[in-house]
Parts: sequence; structure tokens; C-alpha cells
Amino acid sequence: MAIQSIPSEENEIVLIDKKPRKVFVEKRGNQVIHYFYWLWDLYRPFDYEPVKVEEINGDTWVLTRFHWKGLVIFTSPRLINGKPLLSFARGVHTPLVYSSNWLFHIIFCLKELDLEQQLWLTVYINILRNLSKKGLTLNNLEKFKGYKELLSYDPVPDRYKFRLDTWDYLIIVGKYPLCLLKEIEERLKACD
Amino acid sequence: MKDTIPSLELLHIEREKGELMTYEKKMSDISRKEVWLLSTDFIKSEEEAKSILLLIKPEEAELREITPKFKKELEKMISRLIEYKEMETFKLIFYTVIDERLYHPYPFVKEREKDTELSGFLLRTICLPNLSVTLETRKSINWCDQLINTLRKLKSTKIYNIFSLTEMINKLDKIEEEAFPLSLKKGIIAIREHLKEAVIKTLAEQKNEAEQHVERALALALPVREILRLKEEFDEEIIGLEDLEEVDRINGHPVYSFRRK
Repeated sequence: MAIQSIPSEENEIVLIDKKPRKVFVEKRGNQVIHYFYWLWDLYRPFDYEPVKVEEINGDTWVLTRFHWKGLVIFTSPRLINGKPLLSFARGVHTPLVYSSNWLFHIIFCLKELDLEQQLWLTVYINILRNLSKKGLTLNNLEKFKGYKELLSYDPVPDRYKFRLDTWDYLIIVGKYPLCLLKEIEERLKACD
Repeated sequence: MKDTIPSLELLHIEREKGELMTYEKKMSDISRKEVWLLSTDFIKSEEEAKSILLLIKPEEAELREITPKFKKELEKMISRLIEYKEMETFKLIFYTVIDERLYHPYPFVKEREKDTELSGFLLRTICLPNLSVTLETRKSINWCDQLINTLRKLKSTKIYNIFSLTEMINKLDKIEEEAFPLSLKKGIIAIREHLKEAVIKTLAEQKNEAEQHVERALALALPVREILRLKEEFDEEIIGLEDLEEVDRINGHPVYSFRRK
């Protein structure tokens, strides 16, 4: 599988329609992760929403995290100038990537999620289902912009770091992939 | 007294640092009278109005021009806050963004007089950093908002009023019967059971255990409210995890998706 981490750390990896406080850049080997940072989400301070963009066999994938326990891969993002369009759910800032296909698939790593996680996942699947049924129109493409002025290279605290190998469930939004990334495959092998 | 009031500019600088503890210390230094002064007397210029809006809702402040009309709206909003009858509506919205770490340290938080509640509320809402929720009144406040509000109060004051708990349990009994989908129903039942346990532990004077059950109930009530909000927003049936079906397997692991009609 040909994997290529997208742009250099100097550039925006997506276009956004809301303005976070900062965007922290983490470079891990040849991989680049951007953390969209707010001081608050609805329930707690310090909100780091990680986003990673990968080129997989010519397709663009956007990887992000949902409620700490879920890894989300958007496999059919809509692109402008080669960049995915990223929005954030109101209040909690959950990243949502505008997709040409909103069909989702879920793989659980645990035999059973706790009730709190089940409820948060219920929230997420209903957002995705609504998007798949009603679609989403981008009325104002001019709203999506880069964020170079927000980039920061200060380190991200360890507990907020994005890990592809420690999730409890995996959500794939968009085209069902023929294969997964190596770290994700390894996590899958280690599941219950 | 005015000299001791932190200027909005100062608050803004504090906010920029992103240091929560520094900020809390500053907050606790402000007396109740100062908060009153801040709340009733602070909008003197468009610049100040803009600063306040930046504190309350930064995204909009950047987008919206501060016109005299808008300033008037802002003043009206603050005066509505000051009228106690309007407080509950605003409080319920803002309590959702107030973490107990910020809520708890205020010295007057346990006092019950309406003016101290109002001062504390204004302090938390106007001065808290970077509140990104939409500031809006709601026509109706649903039961879950009320539940979360009560649980947050219980958690922060640590005063466990048996009657408020039993009242919530009775309410949840009725709601549970009609709750749908199954995961929502399970959430409501679990909240109710945690509250029952909290009552039992409170009666047995096991305060720590009671506190844990209230915390658990609160943690479950937050996603329950989000589900209810989506239900209202989408105006359609909400699906639960039980509605997902196996559509494939990867390395022996089932892959689920929702049933498509």
C-alpha cells in the first residue's frame, strides 16, 4: 500500500470554516498531525482535536478522534485545491469532514463499550446518519480558509496526543476501504 | 473600588495565557460588589461591548460589527440577566460550559440569596475564558437541562438534598417508559439507579459514595441530553446501536453499519 503523509508541517493540511484558538503541529517521523485547539469544549477545558491527512493509493483520507475512544477515518472527503474541508460540531468541536459519501461503518475493539461510551457513540452515528440522509450543501465555500497564522510548534501534552493504535472503536465514514493502515491493522489484531 | 476591578483588557490578557489556575486566582480576588459593578456599569463604549462579546462568544465578535443597535441588544441581554426571573434560562445554558474546577472555588457559591447567585453567575459567564456556545434563550427548557443543572449544583455544593433527588427519580421513572431508542432508555434507567444509590448512601451518611453516584449520573446525563437535542433538531427518529447490523468482517471482526431502508 502506498502511503504518503500529506503536506509539510509549514502548510495547512485542511481548510476550516471556524477559527480555533491555535493549531498545534506535531511531527512524528514523516507524519504530521494538526491539533485544533480551543480553551473549552462544552464540558471541560483544553480541547485538542487532532487531524491527520494521508494519501492512500491515490485517495485522500482524513483521520481524527471522537470522544477519546473512537478513531474516525473519512475516506471520501470533498477537496478544494487538494485540501479536505473540515468543520467542527458546535460546542464540543468534534471534527466533521465534508464528504461525498456519508455512509459509515463501525468496528468495535472491545466486546462491550461502557454505557457512557455507547451513548456518545449514539450521538455520533445519528449526526452521520442525518448527514447521509439529508446531505449537506456548501453554500459558502469562501468560508473555508487556511490557518497559517494559527500554527504553533509548541509541544502537545502527552495525554492529548493522537494515537492510531489505541482506540476502542473505529468509524469509517465514506467509501469502504479495501485495506487499513498498518497501525490500525495491528490494533485490530490485538482486540478482544 | 473601581481601581480594584480587573479591567476587561486585563481579563483578556489572562485569557490569552490559557492558564486556568492563574485565572481562577484572579476570579476569587474579585468581591461580590465589584462583580455587581462590573455587571451593571460596564458597557460604556462600543469597544467595551466588543471586549465583552469576545469573552462570551469570540467567534461572533470577530464576524459581527458592533453597531449602536447591537450594543443596545447587548445591554438588553445583560439587563435581562439581572432580572432574576430570566436567570434560569440563561443559567442552564451556561452551566453546560462551567467545569466544576471553575465553579467550586468561589467563596459565595454555597450562599443562596439570589443576588449572590447572580453575581457568581455573571462572574462565571462574563469573565470565563472563551465560551464558544451560542448565547441564546430557549423557549423551553427540557427536563434533561434541569436534571443536569440540579446534578451540577449537587456536585459543586456537596449538599445532598434527598427531596431534590427523589423528585428527579420520580421524573425519570415517567420519562423512561417512553424513552427510545434502547440506548437512550438504558441511559435514563442508569441515571435513575445512580440517583437511587445516592439517596441510600446519603441516608447512610456515606457522603463519598453518594458523590460518586451523582458524578456518574451526571456523566451519563450529558450524552443523553445531546441525543435529545439531536432528536429535537433533526425532528426525526433517533437510531441506537441496536439498529446497527453486521455487514462485513475484517480479520474476523464484525463490521457494523445501519440498516438501510
